[in-house]
Amino acid sequence: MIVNLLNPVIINSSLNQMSDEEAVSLYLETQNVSYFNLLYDRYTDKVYAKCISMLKDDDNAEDATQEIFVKILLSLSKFGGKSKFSTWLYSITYNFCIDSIRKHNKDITTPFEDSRMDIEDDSLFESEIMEISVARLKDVLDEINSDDKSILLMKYQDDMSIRDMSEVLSKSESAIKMQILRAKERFLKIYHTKYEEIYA
Amino acid sequence: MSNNFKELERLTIQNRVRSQEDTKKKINANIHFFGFVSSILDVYLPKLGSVITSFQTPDNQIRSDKTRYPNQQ
Repeated sequence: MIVNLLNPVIINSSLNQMSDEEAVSLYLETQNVSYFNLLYDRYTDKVYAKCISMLKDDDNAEDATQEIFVKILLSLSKFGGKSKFSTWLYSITYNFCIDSIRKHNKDITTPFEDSRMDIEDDSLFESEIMEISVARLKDVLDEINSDDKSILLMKYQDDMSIRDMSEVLSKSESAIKMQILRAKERFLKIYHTKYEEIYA
Repeated sequence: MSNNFKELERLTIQNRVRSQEDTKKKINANIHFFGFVSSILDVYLPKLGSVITSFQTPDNQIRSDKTRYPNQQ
């Protein structure tokens, strides 16, 4: 054990194989920064990608990434292990970005529209959205409001289940399904308006 | 079916300009700062308790101690 602790190669290889949840509990037990650094190295890029997608500014995204990790550090003891660590981390990231956008009144307001579609069909519009090119996807994401954007990123980028999203957002599963459906509708509406020459 | 949301994420990460090390150093500085504050609290908090209890000790008890041990400085 002592030999293992003194050998950096063994330490690094055992750290790399460690699950996120193990790293969290070991950090809480030992307060050893290496465990936190492991989580940071694993997720900093993903958190940054979400921040820049939400905040649309590189400097703000870098600052937000740092603040989110400090927040994570201070609230690691509150991570109960109910969901995956990544789910918990992403929920903090999205909430942080949404709060930041609202604080600076930069959010895009979209009128509420009543949808009569079948909310049980989660795969509605799926193929159409998936066929959109990366450049256009980025353009449209930049134009939708932060709630719609975060729910679409949770679904398509983070592969979160409806159950995870309902826990993260403290909403019922049917409310989440409805929110996804409306987000997809609004997303496609903006997409069609922006690139309507294709559909003309 | 390809997922362009993930591709967008991959490209965003690829284009990240600033070094991660800067942010990591700042966070480590935060960790050390929190550690420093908690060490100070660890050292001084128990002493604070004894200071408060010494304030609450009645004067006559101190006086009686002095009469009991008159040569005490």
